[in-house]
Formats: sequence, structure tokens, C-alpha cells
Amino acid sequence: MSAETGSATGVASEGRTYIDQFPGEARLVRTAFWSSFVALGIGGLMGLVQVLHRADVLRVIDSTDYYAVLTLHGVLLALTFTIFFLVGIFTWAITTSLDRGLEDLRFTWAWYGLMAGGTALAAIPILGGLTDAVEMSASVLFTFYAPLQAHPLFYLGLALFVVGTWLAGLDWIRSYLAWRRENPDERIPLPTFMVLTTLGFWYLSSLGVALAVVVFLLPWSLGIWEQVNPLLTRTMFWYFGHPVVYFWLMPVYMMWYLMLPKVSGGKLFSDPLARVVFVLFLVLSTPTGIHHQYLDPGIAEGFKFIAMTNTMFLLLPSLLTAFTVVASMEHGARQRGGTGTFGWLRALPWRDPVFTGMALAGVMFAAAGFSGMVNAGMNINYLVHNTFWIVGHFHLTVGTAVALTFMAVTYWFLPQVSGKRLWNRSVALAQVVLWFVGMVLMSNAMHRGGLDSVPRRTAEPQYRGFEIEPTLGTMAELDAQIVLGGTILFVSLVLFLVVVVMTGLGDRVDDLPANEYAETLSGPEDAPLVLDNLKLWVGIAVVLVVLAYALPLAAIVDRGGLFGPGGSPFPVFVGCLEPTVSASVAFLGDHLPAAVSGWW
Amino acid sequence: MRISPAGLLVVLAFAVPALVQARTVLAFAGVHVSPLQTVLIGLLVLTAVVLWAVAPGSGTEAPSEPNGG
Amino acid sequence: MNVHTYEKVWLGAAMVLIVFFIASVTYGAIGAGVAMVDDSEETIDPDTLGEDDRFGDPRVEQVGDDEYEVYAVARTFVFQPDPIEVPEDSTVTFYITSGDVIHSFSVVGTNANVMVIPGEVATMTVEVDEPGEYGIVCNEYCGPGHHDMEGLLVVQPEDEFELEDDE
Repeated sequence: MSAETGSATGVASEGRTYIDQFPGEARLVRTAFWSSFVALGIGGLMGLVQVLHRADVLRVIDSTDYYAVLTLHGVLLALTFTIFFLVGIFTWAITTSLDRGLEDLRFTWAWYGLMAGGTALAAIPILGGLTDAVEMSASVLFTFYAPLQAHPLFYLGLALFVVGTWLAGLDWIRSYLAWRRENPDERIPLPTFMVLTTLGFWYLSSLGVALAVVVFLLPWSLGIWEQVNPLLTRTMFWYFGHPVVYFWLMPVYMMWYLMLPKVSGGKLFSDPLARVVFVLFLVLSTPTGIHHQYLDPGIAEGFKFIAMTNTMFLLLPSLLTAFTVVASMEHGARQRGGTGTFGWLRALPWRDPVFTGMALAGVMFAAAGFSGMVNAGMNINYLVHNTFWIVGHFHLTVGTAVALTFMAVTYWFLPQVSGKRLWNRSVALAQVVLWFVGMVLMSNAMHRGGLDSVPRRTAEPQYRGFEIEPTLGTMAELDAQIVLGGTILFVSLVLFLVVVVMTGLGDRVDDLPANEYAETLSGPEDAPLVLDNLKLWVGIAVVLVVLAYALPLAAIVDRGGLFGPGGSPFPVFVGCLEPTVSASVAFLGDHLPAAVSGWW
Repeated sequence: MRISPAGLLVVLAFAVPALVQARTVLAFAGVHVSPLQTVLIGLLVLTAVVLWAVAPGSGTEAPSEPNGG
Repeated sequence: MNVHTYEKVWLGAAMVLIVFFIASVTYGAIGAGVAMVDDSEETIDPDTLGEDDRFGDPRVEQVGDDEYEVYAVARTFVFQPDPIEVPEDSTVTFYITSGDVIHSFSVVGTNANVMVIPGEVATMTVEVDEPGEYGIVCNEYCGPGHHDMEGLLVVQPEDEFELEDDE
């Protein structure tokens, strides 16, 4: 981007695709995408297994193995799929908007390798939980709450994965600093601004989970610590566990701000407001995690109240985004000849799966916002906490707003980073529409079930001593709706994978559209300079985090101690319900193979 | 065609949440519609939308699409 | 900074909505008296619950006219005592802790729902009115038998209720 672009934030790539501009970076982005798609495929298949199992339609696994499947589903989709896709998009955003390649691709491949290696290490014990042949497991779900204990490889892999993302962030910051030296007086281009603000809260929040894993859980799983404080490690998890949802969401917002206006045929409504939204996320994302712990004993009501207030204010950037997205779409539609109060909707490019997928994802995210408001209300939360309602909620957020947007923009990105034509636009369109329909059916039934206390995270929501009676309809009917929705989602997923594989098998062509993102109606010259003062915003974020977390953490440690009162570890593996078995595990000084073979 | 095939597809897709949620909302008002009835009403509505869309009418064609990838 | 009029209106409406939400939650906590689970109880060692006065013998105790206390323990994969029997039209305070991993104690069809964390004692006070049997589920994953973990809360008609004899 050059100094004279003014309000035109769009990037002129002289009609070239991304792979023509940055072949080395395109290879990295492509590899990251494929890693992400593999996780999506496996994770999605696990989802289908769960849907059929819970409803007792088809049980291909034992109920005790369900939780290994669920761990795989959660970890692969919530962390692997999303974050590999994110590093692809952010690499694209940095290089495209700064118009320069990464400083050293060897470093880039190193962090990719660390992320991939970490994922593989964590996956080994999770898969081990599915078979009796391997004596290791990690059926601790995505939240790995102590004293449930996974094999040390799980924690190690997780830590390496997070460190990989930190190095990726350094790579992008390095590019930015190099650009800044050459362009001391320019405004930060909007996509780079989005990456930097996201990194700000990512470093801040992932530090919490890294400390929980490296200081407490990994040494504990190796037998160095005898016990941990479950409330402390749980609080440290949620310190990261809520910001991580914004980590998934920020690349989506980036796409809604940069790509949706472009594919609608118009311009982004306002660059300054986009910057305000990302600054709000940087500042407010982290001091909210305690809203996942409204029902936890050992945390004072006042701390929960502070988290609730911060959470409610976090609605603001999302509500602002809703405005900007719709306004930008309307602008695009009117540029394309749309008229009337609602008639402009007809002028939108519904034939384009990139547009339709993102638009449908946006609609579902609006619905998710409403169920999220219910979750955030700390007294209504009692009704829905840990019920199927929550599962319905996050299948609208990460499962649709994020996943569907990622799938939709893949149809634009894949040609850009591979130089190949999208295999079939009609199949792609059917795919995004099917995802929407499937998720409507599944999440509606999940929300309704949750209101009637159907729990989440269970292999068999059928009980011996009582029956859960839905307010509307029957359990059988809710199950049927979920199975139908889940099956449609799986069909959609298969179609997605078919389209990307067939595209990958195609030949290079040279008439693809250029690598561009949306221009803005109101450009960065309208944005106050203070918005670009990232040090200030990171500083404020740190202060808010200290205010929201220093006292609760101090109170938890003061009450229970750093390492207790936690009780004995509870290794999770099939067939053993004996919580004291870990006494036999290796202690410090034993080498790892012994630890692995002795591990149950 | 009154609307483009892609437009029709999206309208049909949006009819699904409308139908599913309408049933939930009606239940709040004490009107209980069974799943079978919902499916039948749904099929009727969807068929009506398709018939409306393909009927020769005065509706304008949607603007042509760009060749986006 | 150039903010469009529509955008200002939207921003204002969003702020009003947020303030309304915070006010309504505050009212719920203070006005309607929906108290949050808090840190009022001391921590406890989950490995030695058997020696504890309250949790060594999980039970229901009468502490006043129409006032009862329940000392309950969640373990893989049971609730103790089971069933929990209380009379209708009473005020019941639950004290719940875990002997091993994190569980929950959730009365089906109600908002009596709380996390049970080893080392912590969760308390909640519930107004019990209608007689009947209510299921209790653990809605936090607690191990391979998680789906088998269930209990029963029996609210008995006043004339049929009888506290089990304490020794």
C-alpha cells in the first residue's frame, strides 16, 4: 500500500494473484489450510459419531470411549482447525497489506513445524484413548480440568502448539516493524492493524494457559507435583478459554470487514470504526473469563459481577460489527443496482458461495449473540450452565460464524494461494447452504433441550431413575432433529472437502481475479491517530486484566494454596475407575519411555 | 423465473429457521404443532415458494453475477 | 472522527441495551435475591472427607421450622445421599463437595445447578414447594462412567415426611 492511497485502503496488486506475488508465503498459507482441513474432516466425523451415539441411533463405540471421541472433536475443531486457518489468513493479511514478504521463511516454517508437531503429540494420547492396544490416553476434553489427568504428551503437545502460535505472532510483528522502519509516517494498514490488536490479547491470554500447563499440569502428570489446585488451574484455563473464542472470531471479523464488502460489490463502511472494534476486543477480551465460572464455589460474587459487566460491554464491538457488515452489504447491493428498503437484498451476489457463506454465517452469529447474552446474565446462567443449550450456543459461534466463514472464504483463498480455479461453484454454494440448514435444525434442538436440563458432554443423556421431559415435544423428537441436522452438517462437510480436494487436483490457470480486499468509504485519515497507539491499548488491557484477575487469583491461592487442596490425580483411561493408580507412575528422574509404559 | 436460482435456494434455506422457530414460538403462545404437521406445513410453504419463483411473472431478473472465484 | 448518523444512533442503542442488561442482572441479584454461589465456605481436603463432620456421613438435617440442610458428596459416579428426601414448602440449603474430580449437582428442570469442585464446598439455598421426584444429574464430564452418574431429589408431602434417625 502506498502513501497516496488516502481513503482507498484497497490494495493494488497489479492484477496478480497472491501466489504470483508471494509464492513462498502462498505455500505456507496453503499448507496451513490443508492442516486445518484435515482437522476439520476428522473432527467433523467425530461429531457425526457423537450425534448418533447420544441419540442412541447408532453406537459404533462404547459409551466409555465417547469421551475420547469428544476430546478429539473439541481439540481438533476448536484449536487445530481454527488456529491453523487463522495463521494462514493472518500471514496473507500481513504480507498483502504491507506489500512485503515475510522476513525469513525458514523461521516461518519453524513455527509451522512447532504447531504441527505439537498437534501430533497431543493427538497421540487422545487417539490412544480409543484403543486398548496403547496404554496412554487423554480423554480430558478440550477443557482438561484437573484432577482429571491426561498423559504428559497431551500437555506437552499443547504447550508446543501455543509456543508455535507465539512465534508466528513474532514473525508478523517482525514484518510490521521492518515495514515501519521504511514507512515511518504511514497509518498502519487496516488488515495489519487487525492482526496486531488480535496478537495483543492472544499473548496476554494464552500466557495463562501456558503457565497452567507448564507450571502445574505437565509436571503433575509426570509425578513431580503430587496434586494441583483444581480451582486455580480451572480459572487459569478460563482466563485463556474465553479470549480464545475471540482469537477464532477475529479472523472472521477480518473477513467480514475486508472480504464481505468486496464480494458484495461495494466498500467497507468505515475504517475508523473497524479500528475501534478491534481495539475494544484487545482491551475487553481477557478480563471476562470468570463468566464461565459463575457457578463455581470458591470465587466471590463480586468478582463474578466484574466479569459479567466486562462481558456485557464486550457486546458493543459485536453490535458495531453487525451494523458495519449490513451497511457494507447494502452499499454493495446498491452499487450493483439494488433499490428499495429491502429490495436491495435481491441484488446481492447470492450465486457466489464466498458471499452467501459469509452472509449466512453472519445471520447465525446474530442468533448466537442472543443466546450469548443469556449465558452472560449471571443469574439466568443457572438455568443453562453446562446444559445442551451451551452446546447449541457455541455451534452457532465457532461452529457456524467461524467455521462457515472459513469454509466460504476458502473458496476465494484457495485459488489465490494455489493458482487453481475453484472446482465447482454450484457444489460450493450448496455446501454453505446445507451447513446453514443443518445447523439451524441441530442448534435449535440443542438450545431447547438445554432449557429442560439436558446436560452437555454425556454419552447417554438417558437416565434410569427419572426422565427428562421437554417443555415442547418429546426427547425422541429433539433427538431426531439433532440427528437430522448433524447428518446434513456431515454431508456439507464432505462436499466441502470434495471441493477443496478437486480444486487442489486441478491445473494452474492464469486468469484468476487479483489479490484484493475491500476499499473503504471512510478511510484511515478519519481515524484519530491514538487508535494506532498499540502500546497504549495493550497497557490498558493489562490494567483491566490485573483489576479483574489479581484479586480472584490471590483469593484462590490464599484459600487453597498453589497446589491444593486438590486431592489425588485421576488419570482418564478406559476401564480403570481407580483414582489412586497414578501412584505407580514415574517420578522425576525416570526417563520418559518408562513413564509411558508405566502410564495408565 | 422471478428470482435467480441461487436466490431461490437462499430463500428456501431461510424458510427452514423460520419454520423451526415459528413452531417454538407458537408453543410459547400455547399453540402446539406436531413435528409431522410442521413437516407438512413446511413442504407446503417450500412448494409455494418454488411455484412462485418459477411462475412467469413481472418480476425483474436479479442483476447478473460477477465472475468471482 | 467521522461517524455516520445512523452509526451514532446504533451505538447509542447498543449502549442502552448493555446498560439494561447489567441493570437487570443487578436487579436479579439484589432485588429478586438470586444469590450467586460464592466463597463463603472454607476449603476442605477431598482425600479425607470420611473424617469430616458434615461430609463423613452425607445426610439431611433439620435446622429449624421448615428449614433443612443437606450435606451431599459427589463422587465418580454417584451422589450421596441418594435419594435426598426433603418435605414440601421448606427452605433447603445444600452443602456439596467432591471426593475426587470436578462434578456438578444439577436438579433437572430447575435452576438449582452448581459446580462441585474438589477442595471447595458449594452452597445454595433453594425454596422447595411442589412434592415430586426430581432427577439430579452431573453435567460436568467426570470420567468414563460420567453418563451413569445420577441421583434423585424426593420432595415429599409434609405429612409423609420423616427424617431418618441419626444415631
